[in-house]
Amino acid sequence: MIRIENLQVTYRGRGTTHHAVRNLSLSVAAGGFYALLGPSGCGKTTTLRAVAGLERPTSGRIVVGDVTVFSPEEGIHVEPHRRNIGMVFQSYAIWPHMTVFENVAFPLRRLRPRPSRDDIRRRVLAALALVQLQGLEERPAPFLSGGQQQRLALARALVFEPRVLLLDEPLSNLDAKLREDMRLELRDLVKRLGITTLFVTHEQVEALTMSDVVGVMRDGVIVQEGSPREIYNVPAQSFVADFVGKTNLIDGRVIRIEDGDARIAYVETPLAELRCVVDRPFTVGQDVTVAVRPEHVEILTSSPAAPLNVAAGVIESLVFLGNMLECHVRVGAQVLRLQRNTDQSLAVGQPVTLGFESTRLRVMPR
Amino acid sequence: MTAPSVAAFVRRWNGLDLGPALMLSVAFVAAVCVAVTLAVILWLSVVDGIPGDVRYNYTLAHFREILFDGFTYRVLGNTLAFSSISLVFAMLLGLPLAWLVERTDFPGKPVIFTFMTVGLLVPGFAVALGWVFLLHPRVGIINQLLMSAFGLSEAPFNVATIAGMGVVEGLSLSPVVFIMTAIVLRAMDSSLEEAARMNGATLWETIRKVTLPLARPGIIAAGIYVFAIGFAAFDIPAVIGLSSRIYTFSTYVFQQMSPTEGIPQYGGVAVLSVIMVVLAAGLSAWYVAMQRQAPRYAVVTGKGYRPTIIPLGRWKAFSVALVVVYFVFTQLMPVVMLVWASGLPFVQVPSAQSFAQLSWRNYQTLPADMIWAGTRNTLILMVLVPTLTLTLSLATSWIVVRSRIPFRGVFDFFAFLPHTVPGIVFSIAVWLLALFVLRDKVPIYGTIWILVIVYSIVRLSYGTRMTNSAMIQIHRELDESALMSGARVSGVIRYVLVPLLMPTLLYSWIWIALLTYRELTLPVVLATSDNQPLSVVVWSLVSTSSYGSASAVAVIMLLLMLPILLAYWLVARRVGVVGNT
Repeated sequence: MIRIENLQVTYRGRGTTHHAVRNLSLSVAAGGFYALLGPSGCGKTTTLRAVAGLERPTSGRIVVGDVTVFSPEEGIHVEPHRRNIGMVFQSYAIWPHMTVFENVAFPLRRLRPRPSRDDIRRRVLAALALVQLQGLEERPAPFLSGGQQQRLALARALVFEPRVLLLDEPLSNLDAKLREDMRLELRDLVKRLGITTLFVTHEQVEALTMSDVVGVMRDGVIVQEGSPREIYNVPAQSFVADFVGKTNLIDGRVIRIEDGDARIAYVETPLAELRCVVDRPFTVGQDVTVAVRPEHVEILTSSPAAPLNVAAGVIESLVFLGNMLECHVRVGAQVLRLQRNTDQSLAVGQPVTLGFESTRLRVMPR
Repeated sequence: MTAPSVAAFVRRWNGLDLGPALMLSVAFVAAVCVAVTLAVILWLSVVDGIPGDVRYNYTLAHFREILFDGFTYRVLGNTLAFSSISLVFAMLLGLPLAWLVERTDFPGKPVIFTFMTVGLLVPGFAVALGWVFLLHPRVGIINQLLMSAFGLSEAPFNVATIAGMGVVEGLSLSPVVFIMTAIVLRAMDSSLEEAARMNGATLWETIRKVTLPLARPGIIAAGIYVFAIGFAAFDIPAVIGLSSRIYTFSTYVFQQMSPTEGIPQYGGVAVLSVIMVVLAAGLSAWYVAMQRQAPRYAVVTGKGYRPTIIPLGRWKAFSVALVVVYFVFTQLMPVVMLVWASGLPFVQVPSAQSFAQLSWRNYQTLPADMIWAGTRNTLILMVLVPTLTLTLSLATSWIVVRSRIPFRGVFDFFAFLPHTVPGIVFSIAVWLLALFVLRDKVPIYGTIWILVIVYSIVRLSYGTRMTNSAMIQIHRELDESALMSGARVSGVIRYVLVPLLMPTLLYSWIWIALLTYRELTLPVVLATSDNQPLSVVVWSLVSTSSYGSASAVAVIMLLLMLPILLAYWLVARRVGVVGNT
């Protein structure tokens, strides 16, 4: 279990102060897999390093397991080496002057009381087996492939059975194919061991596919927290909608609320008047942003009955992506992004009618 | 204390990480040593009476005395002329050689690099002695040969002049220019030169209009560096000029300290030292500014390129001949002269008669106990100085590069300071410190420890440059992953940093040991008969005009140096670095 309360990390430079993390709170349930997702410089790595003890926060409280490891009011700052936390670094940080075995044995040799030689050997081999590196014990660490180094870093972080595991962009140094395999492998392993994990990434796919809970960060603040499904389908702000997956953002204004049903709002936009299903109350006249995913914009083949949720446009460009076709449609001043099957016959310059389904439109205050 | 509380205390103590505190205190000691040494000089320059005397008072009299003395300005002029001549000579020889080795198909490049490195390490006093035997107006054999050949009544060359010493200094500094500019030329993007050739420039035009201007900041930086070394030089002006009363700043200060008559003018010595520090610091600031400017010219592009090699064609034989002449003159001849002189009762032109006089007499009559003690002292210094220097450097680098202690840059400043301060000033400062401040409270004067400390402080700038740049190259996450694995800072240093730094540490250790071996400037002030190293033995023989014995000791020193040079060469080849003072 990890609990962070009101964490503040402030850097003071010459005459400037930079708030890397502002009043952040989060909690990872025992055995949970929590991903901090955000663009570079949003404070996610700083938060992770604060949990590790490598960064000294300005204020706040951090609890790991049942131990408070940081709390300036109580005068507590546990040194990193005493926190009993396993960590996988972005660069893997494999010690190049040691063999695979020595790398994994290193944390065990730091334990007090020190385990016996046989015990160390048994536990190292078990950890290497866990990450499928058996048989490579005597190999010098630099003679490992990227994927093997990644596994070695993981074995080293897990071998001393830490309370929690921290992962700092662990897949970013792997090539695309390997990264995809390691995503699932890593998640399966962590879930099998039931270790509480905090994970930092700027890749939305990693956050969505691997974690139980995603916290989207921006400028030192978690702007939305929820299951991957919630984050993708019900983004709370246009930033989240834009950062997690591709999306079209359309500015507009609420002009009418359905009588007797506050869940239906009509939004006037430069494209068309949009009838939207909303999950929170809006007032007439409020400025809003409507988000719609590329895969949720329809191209209508027959002309619609009513001019509601429909816009006419012209295909401006087509991009072949292999498994699908990305299609840019100009509607007035705006260009919308759509995703279509590759077998659909479309041509640049072709006029099209776009349709938007009310339940697929996500209205957010601006 | 009851039993449980003792246990609690021990538990707490075990959890405490003493690593950072230890590093900080070691780095602090290094910085304080440098600061105190320089503070003593400043203090003594404004104090009247014999320091240590309770009745001293502050005065500017010493400054007035020195600054209104015409002789000070003559020495200053001498020193400037001396360093300018040595700069010109070092540049004229070092630059073309660097270009030949880096940019043309000149054969045997590794051999040249090796010879150049050896050139950096051959003791300056030994070279100077060799040149005295060659060009001294009275004993120099070249002069004798020319006089008898052409029936001259006067010696055509006199090495015991500012110009003569400047040339000798320039010859011995040419390897420094060579190594510094070779690095600049190697890092230069040759596609810029190729572009000039494609646009119709001849080779000579390309060198003049593209290569030289691009390499200019690097070359100027090397020039300032060499000028500063010349400015502070002691060995060569001392061995060649002191007996003829031709002074440069270093030798003048030295002479003021141990005058042949009267008592030493400590105040005056301190003032001269302050002047030297100020001038040298100015040069150093200029050097740093030049080095900062270099990247603006984008000499280093970082992309994988291979400099175009210019075929020398029919010029090859000619260039090889020039380089051979260079090595014969700068390195071989002085050494051969030493060996020759060490076998003779007095220096003479080679002839049937002089060959008949060759004997081991000079070696047999050497004061054996002095030689043994000198060898012992030199060996102790060669082991302790690199070890202490690198310990201090490692701690300082850790504080500067790795810790987040506020004002950690101050440690780097103090560690770099000895680079700016002429060696003779450091030894004078420590000498004054030992005699007037520490005195019998810390009886360090006359022991080997005072030399160990001074040598180590002076080498601190070199040591920290090496450990700084090596530590920066070690990814910080390698430390952090050790911390997360349960290691304390002391464990991180021991199990991760030191093993990874080992090649650099080993290389620097041998290099500092070699510099320690050839060092004369520092011990010449501080050594007594109890703690003098071999270099001072040679010096004291020279200063009593026992040239035969001095040559014999110098030859022994050169022979003893060979195995260490070999070790250096083997390590340097593995680490892949080029030497630097």
